[in-house]
Amino acid sequence: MDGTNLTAINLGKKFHQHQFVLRHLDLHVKPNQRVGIFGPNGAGKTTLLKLMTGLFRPTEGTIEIDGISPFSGAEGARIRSSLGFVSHQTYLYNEMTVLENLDLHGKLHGIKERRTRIITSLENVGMTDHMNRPVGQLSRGMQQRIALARSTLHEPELIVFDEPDTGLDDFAREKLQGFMQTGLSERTMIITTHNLELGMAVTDRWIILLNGVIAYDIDSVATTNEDFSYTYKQIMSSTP
Amino acid sequence: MKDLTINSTPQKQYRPGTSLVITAIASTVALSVGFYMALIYAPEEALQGGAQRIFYLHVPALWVGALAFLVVFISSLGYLFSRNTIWDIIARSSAEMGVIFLTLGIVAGAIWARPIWGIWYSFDPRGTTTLVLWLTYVSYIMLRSIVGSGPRTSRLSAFLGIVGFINVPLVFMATRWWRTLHPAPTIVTSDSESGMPQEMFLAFLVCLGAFTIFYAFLMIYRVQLEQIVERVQTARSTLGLF
Amino acid sequence: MKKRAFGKDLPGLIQQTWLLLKKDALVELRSKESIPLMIVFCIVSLVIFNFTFDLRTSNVTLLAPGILWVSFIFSGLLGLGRSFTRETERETLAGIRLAPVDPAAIYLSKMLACFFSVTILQLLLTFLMVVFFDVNLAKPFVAVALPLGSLGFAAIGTPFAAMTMNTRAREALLPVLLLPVLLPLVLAVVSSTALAMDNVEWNEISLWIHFLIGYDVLFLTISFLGFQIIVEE
Repeated sequence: MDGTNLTAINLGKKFHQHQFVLRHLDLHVKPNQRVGIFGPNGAGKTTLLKLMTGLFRPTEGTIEIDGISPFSGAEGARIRSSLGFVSHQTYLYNEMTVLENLDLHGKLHGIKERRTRIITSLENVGMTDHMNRPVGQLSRGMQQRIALARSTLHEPELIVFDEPDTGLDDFAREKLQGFMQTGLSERTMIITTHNLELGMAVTDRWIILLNGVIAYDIDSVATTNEDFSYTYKQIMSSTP
Repeated sequence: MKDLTINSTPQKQYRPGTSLVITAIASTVALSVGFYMALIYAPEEALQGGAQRIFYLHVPALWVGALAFLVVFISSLGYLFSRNTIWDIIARSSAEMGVIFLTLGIVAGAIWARPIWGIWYSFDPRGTTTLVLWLTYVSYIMLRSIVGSGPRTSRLSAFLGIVGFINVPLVFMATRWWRTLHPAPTIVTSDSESGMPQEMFLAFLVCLGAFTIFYAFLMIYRVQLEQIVERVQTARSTLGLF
Repeated sequence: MKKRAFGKDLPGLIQQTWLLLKKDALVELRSKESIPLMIVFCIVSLVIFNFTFDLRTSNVTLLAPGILWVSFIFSGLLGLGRSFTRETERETLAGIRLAPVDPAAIYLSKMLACFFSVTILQLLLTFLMVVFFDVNLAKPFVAVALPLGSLGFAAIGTPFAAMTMNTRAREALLPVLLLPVLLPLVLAVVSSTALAMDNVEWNEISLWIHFLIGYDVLFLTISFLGFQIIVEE
């Protein structure tokens, strides 16, 4: 499978009349690239990811995946179907079982062999035993793993993680890291996290977002973990 | 929205546009003439006496209210099709104007109705429709203030601006049929408008025109002000000065 | 912005609507939240009306249509609000929007879910009116007016509930925004219910029935086309 590329040009988004959360943002992500986006709270990380997945419509500029805007009708719908999004919100119905939740998403994505796909994606996150339990009865960490299964169910070519380690214990975090490193090869991946260690371990391009603009952007081969951590801390400490 | 370009040459000082100056002068003159004609020039109505003169305020105020909501409707459509902020500014300014004029019209109507009909308010089709119109746009303003400014508010209020306006004829029809099918205590419906002397009609027309020009002036003023606010705020946020 | 034509991918739209509707039914069956809440509220309001209007055989026929519909509208508003706030608690609606789902399918499913739950409410309400106040509601035109009223309520109530779902003070904002728009519907259904109870001929009631059909079609169309602008962010 070939990962997709993503291009954002002059991207801007505002929620309140005079305040841009993001502005004049240009970003190009190459196929199969793994990008880590870091930055303080309120830097616009989540907004950027929601723009990428088509949950938010840009106020300014454009965002294109494989040259197609997620908002362009039938073509856009096809593109949205090739995206996966794991947020710190699980997007799961507590009243429904794991299987029912995944089945709903599978059907909405128009997946043919749902049963096998669901089993595979549950195996990937080690949750096959809990298939028939209502999501509301599962622990936070388990729910997050189901969310991971949900967003990889339709085998997206671009997968976006928004602080996927929120609320996970160390064990679950290690499993997540392992999954990202081995289970998601040959895909374009974008991740935001506060956990610099985790982020650096699973990505090969590191971006620091600050006040809605890209403050730093470097390939992992061009720097070392120590240097990047140092830069990150410098930038973080320079903000109020 | 244009960006504010920051350059070394000082920006031109703000001066009111020609349209603003013209409408300001025109509405001052027209309103003065209108009030003169309404209070002195027009003859006293035989049956209603002085109370009838409220009519020169009541009807033009309601007319401007209705006009303002038509403007909200049109600019809401304009916003949804073009996503240009200017439409949203016009819609929100016009909604505020409309509520003010409509309130004025309703209060004037109540003051007139008390001595003439013996009641403050009548839930006849016109009275009810006016009240529903008022409620719709008060809730429109509330929606805007609760959701806060931003593109989402603009979209939601555009939807409300369209639905609320389409609803008005439905309310009118429903209340009219309600009365015809449910016998209700009949109120004196005076037909003074139709058989009025020429002086009265002239005074009425002048007042109608004066109020419309006044509305135009307020709208131009308000929209220009909003545009300036927009530019200043955008500049501030661009410079990081929130 | 891509405009959606009416006939665009109709099978897909129906299929998605059906999926989402089943999901709403399942969630409601498991949580037993909205419908019981509406029903209990409705019974309470009937008890209050019984005393405040001092209902007895001499006046109940006159007041019954009004009581029926006031109880219905206010109970319905409760359920309507819940149906969307439930989706915002874990942002599940965003989860649906991540899939390639037509916003019109979200509208249709929510509208139908609302229509079915208020129909349940209405059947019970009609039954209770008969039991409590001994009014005769078993008339053919009542059976025409009631579903048309419920449909109109669901048609225009759904986009308004979606509008207020993410706002402050949503419980208060929803009725304030919606009730002025519902007024023509309320007048039409109360009037036609009253006429139907009087056993009038079709030509006397047809005006209101046509009005109700027009109202329903108009607001179904507007909401169907406009729902996209409400749910997008």
